[in-house]
Amino acid sequence: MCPSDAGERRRVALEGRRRRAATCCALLWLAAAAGCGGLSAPQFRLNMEDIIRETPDKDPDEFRITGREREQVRQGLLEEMRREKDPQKIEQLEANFGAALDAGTEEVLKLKRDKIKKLKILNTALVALFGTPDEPYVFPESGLDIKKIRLAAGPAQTVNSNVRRGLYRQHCVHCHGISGDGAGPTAVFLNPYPRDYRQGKFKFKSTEFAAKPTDADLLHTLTEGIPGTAMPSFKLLPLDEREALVEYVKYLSMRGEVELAMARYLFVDEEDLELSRSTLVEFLAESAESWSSAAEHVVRPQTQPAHVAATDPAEKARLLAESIERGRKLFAGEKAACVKCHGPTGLGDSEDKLYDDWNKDKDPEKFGAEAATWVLPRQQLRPRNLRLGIYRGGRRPLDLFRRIYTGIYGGPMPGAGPSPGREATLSEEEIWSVVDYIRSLPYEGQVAVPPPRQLTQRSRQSGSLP
Amino acid sequence: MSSPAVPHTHAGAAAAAPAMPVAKFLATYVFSRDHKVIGLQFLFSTLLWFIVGGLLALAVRWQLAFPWQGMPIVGRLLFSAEGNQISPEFYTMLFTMHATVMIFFVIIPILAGAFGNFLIPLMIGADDMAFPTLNMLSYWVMWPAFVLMTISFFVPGGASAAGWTGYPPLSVAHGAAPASQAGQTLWVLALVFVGISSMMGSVNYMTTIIQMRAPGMTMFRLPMTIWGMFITAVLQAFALPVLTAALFMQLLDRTVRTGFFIPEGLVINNEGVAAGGGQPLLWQHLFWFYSHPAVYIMILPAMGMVSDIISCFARKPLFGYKPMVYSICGIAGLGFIVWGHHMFMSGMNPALGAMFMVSTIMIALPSAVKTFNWLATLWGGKIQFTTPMLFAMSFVSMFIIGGLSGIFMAATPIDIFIHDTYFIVAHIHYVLFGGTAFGVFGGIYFWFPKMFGRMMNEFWGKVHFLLSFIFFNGTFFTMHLLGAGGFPRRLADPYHYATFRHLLGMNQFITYCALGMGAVQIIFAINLFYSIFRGPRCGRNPWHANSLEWLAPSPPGHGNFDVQPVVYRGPYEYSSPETTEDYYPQWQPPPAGQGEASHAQAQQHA
Amino acid sequence: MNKFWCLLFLAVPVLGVAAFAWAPGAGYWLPRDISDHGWQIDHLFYFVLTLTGAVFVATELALFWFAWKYDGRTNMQPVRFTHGSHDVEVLWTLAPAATLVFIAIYQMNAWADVKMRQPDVPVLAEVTARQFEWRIRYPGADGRFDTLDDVHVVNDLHVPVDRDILITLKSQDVLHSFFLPNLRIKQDAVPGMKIPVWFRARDVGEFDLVCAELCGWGHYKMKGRLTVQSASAFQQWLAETAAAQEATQEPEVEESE
Repeated sequence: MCPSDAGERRRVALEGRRRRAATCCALLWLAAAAGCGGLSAPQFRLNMEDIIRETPDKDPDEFRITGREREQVRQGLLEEMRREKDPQKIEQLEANFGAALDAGTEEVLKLKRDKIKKLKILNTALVALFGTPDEPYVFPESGLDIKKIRLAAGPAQTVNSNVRRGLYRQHCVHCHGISGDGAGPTAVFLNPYPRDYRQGKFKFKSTEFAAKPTDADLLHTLTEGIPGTAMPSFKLLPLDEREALVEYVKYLSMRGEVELAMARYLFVDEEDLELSRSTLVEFLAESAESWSSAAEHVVRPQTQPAHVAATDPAEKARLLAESIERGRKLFAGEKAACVKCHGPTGLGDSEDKLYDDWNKDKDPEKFGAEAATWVLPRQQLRPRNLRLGIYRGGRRPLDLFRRIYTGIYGGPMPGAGPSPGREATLSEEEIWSVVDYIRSLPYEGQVAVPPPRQLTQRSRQSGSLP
Repeated sequence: MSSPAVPHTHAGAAAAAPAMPVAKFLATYVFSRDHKVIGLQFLFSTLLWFIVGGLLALAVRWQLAFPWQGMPIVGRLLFSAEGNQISPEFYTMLFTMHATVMIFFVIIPILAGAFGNFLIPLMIGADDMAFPTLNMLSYWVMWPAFVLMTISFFVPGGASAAGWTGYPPLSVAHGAAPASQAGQTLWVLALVFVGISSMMGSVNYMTTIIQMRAPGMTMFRLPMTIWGMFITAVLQAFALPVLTAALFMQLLDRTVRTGFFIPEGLVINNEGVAAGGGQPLLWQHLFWFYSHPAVYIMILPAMGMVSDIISCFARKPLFGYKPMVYSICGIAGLGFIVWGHHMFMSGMNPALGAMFMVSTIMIALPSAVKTFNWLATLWGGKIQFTTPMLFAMSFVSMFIIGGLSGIFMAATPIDIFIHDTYFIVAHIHYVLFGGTAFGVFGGIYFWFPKMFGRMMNEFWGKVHFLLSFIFFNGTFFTMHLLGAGGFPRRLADPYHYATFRHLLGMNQFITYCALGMGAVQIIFAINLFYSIFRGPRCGRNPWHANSLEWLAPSPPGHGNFDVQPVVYRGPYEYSSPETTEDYYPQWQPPPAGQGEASHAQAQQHA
Repeated sequence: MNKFWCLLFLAVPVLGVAAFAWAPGAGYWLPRDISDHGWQIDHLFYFVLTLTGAVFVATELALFWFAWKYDGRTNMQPVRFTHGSHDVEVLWTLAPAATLVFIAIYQMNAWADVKMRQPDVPVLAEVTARQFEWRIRYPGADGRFDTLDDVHVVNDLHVPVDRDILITLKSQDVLHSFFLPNLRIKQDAVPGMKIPVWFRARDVGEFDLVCAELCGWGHYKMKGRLTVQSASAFQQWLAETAAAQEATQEPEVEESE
């Protein structure tokens, strides 16, 4: 409307056409730029904080000395000179300063190259043994089922792609991390932290203290979740998917154990690792053995609580009450010493600071400034409050029996049953009594109350609105 | 007042005075107290946040179409270790921040801040706002909010992930949501600043509109835009204190562990929550007591702008001016007693729900009256299909859908099923995107000549409209069907549920449309910036419109008008039989003899 | 070109109606209703859909027709110079007002059935929502909660068919929402409150239990299952679950599902 005369209008129209063409080009270019850029496949993270605290994040092939490291060497030499009292020696040091600096950096570089070489060997060995997150691989010696693992591994699939894969990355990776190190992006916000599979330690299982869990144990955890933690129940996943995930957890756990063993071998024992099948299998065998023999270590109580066998209800109730009373005494007594952590009231409110194995060594005082860089800062462990009726490892009397009998692997809870090199602190009967007592705790002191009052108490017969 | 138009665009200024001292530059363009500069500052800030909010929305859409697939760019930057797939708490942050940014940083400030500031003095014939310094502050108080919200993206735990409604205990209890650390506190603080800014604006607008009207500009000669802004300001003045109080309560709950919203005995993330004795529903009541009127704050000014645009391009007076004004007032009044309809499923007493249902259903009435009036305005006109008109007509078309779908939610029994499903997502986007955002686009195309003294490109404007309109409907109309299927909002991966698995294909379609809609806005951005510098220059009244802003030079200089405008008639006298032109501006004196009476009347009013 | 814009606006009602006509046949529609009260909700949905659909089509067509007819390029009639009509305004205020009041009153009964007329039956189960699962508790053999024989299950709600079911809804941490799409039931679980929920299922089968209120990062994970079964099957399941919970020995056959 503004350009008034015809000539002006034509000029504007022409300009407009040119402008339009330019804009089209710009748009196409933007669209192309946005569409490009492939996505990179993930890798297992190298996780050996305990053994080597710094892993180079650069491509090992381009490895060279950094300015900061050179400066550190220089400062070291200067410090040496400062400490030196003998003027003659100082002069000598000054004269050789350049050469010393070169030698020093060369030394550092050599150490680093050595470390890189070992890391490369380690990585190669692990990829050979276990493949990558997208393309997992297992040796037959591991006893793992590759079919199940393939179902769980790989990128998550959308439901309309008709490919069933990537269950782990759909359901688990946020918390447990791609390598099963319990340090996924969500982990840091959780209390307690998600399980780090790599050490092969699992808390809630049916087997002896340090034994591996059975497949059924892992399946139980996956199915029922762990009440009181962020681990939800996956009951509604089809059984084959849950079994695949169990297999994948074992796979990650095994991989982690082998990784740690190899890293220790390479960096602590400073041995050379030969990349041959037989050597690799040697490393694998130990872990695989412990997993495949788990079922042999299942704890089965030899006795039953007396009140279970009783048939007469009155007799049953009397026996149960007796057992609970016995359990109460044991709970408070010196022998079982439950009150030490769980407190005299069972509220789990003792003053002691407790840590599980994953946090035990993370003493911030010991590590100083480095502690600030931890992905998962140290987390305190709280003894269970036994009055909530929340039992992480399952609420069956059998589950509680096993908890008390074997203790909790990875945590400070000791076992009351016998273990290698240690006598039992409680007899089976006594353990059953403690179980009865613990099971009665949430309801202790409660009088029978009528069903809870409802918000709106309107019965069906009043047909009209209030 | 009498000085000729001083060009106020950057381009004009640069041409006029290339070596401007820094201090003067700052005073003119940065810490300016001129309402027009402040309006443009609001406009560009909010458009910038519009991009941020839009990108957040696209990320949400990506996850819904391709759950747990590597997300382009974002995934590579932040989640490369997990194969580029985003984490669920990141997803909750995405939709929380999308809504927060769009509502508090885009829609509210672009309507009240940008258009309110730019248009109010011009349309009522004032030389500036009543309180220019307060006006400047209202913009600069937005900056702490901008900065805090930006920082919140980078603190541990990320930005707020408790939903834009910030319902406690999720938003209050530490450990409940990952961002319930610094991110949520920053969110609360940012909203407090947004509230302060809105409050400053609101006081200023009310005072300006009541006190600074030109001679002859009676309340019933105000353009609908001004009525929209006025009622919005009133709504903000009454509702904002409640939100601010609620935000401070949440802040106290979060920092010094008071227990306004936290009941006894919660166990969150394996820790008991110390505070107790509060009620989570209290927050919902307080929040919606503000946020429901806020829904009208987010649409009334756009309704006003659309009324002006429709009347102008239909070349016909607005049909039922007074009923339109009364319905705006009715919406404002009813708007305060309907907040409970957000809480039908919240555990609030169902009898109270029934009461809110009645008031909520009745609020559809004024909206219906407005729609009928817009349609009647088109009836018998001579419609010019310019870009602003197309956007204004699409506003009407989309607002009809958004308004009607609201009735489903207002009906409590139906709400049982569709509450928190995509039906509500469709509804709110039809009102706020199809409605307000299209109205805002129309407003920008319409008043751009006044803002910069140049025209925007009509061809690209229409392309922008056409594609936006198609992609918008593709995106959001489909969501009604998702909602009918019960598809819940805010789920990172809804396809876990057998009930919703078949909706994946539809979600992918929506995502493609959404990506298209996002891409189309590039056309708008290019058109906007190109036209600011290179658009054809225009005169004072390129659209042949009636209201007072078109009397001022384009762009208006400091003080707005060369001569004191005097108002002789209402703003919608298009095609009046009293003149030969098809428009009859408010400032044009009636022919001698004929209009003596009205002129005298005008003087009297002044 | 002007006509093109008019047709674009015509496309809105045409495609809008077409989408709603196509969707039910293509499977994009309300999920199957198995509840006793659900028909009322569905009926209201269809009722409001018809009503709003009619208004939608009428107003959108008017928009199209006015745009088409009063296109400034082709309309040679003079502009109808009018500022409005009192009578018309009254008409189109009162007519919708009457309709809206009717809708409001018409649906009261359905609302009262679902949320206000609580059946006079004992509470079947207590559902406690927590991040991110549904912890469900049945009173057990003694019919009382908070005793040793309470039956605990997770994410797996079983109810008998054709009975009035009364459930107490609680939350342990944040807000959740108990959403049964197939039963047209939705109720927020609010920490600190015990909220009764009731329904009656007509068909047996397994249905989704959805969390419909944002409850944190794992909101989407909070999936439960509602199993509606015959009264005898329900009693059997309850007894089996109760027995398994008392196990002091590993069951003979490893339970798998």
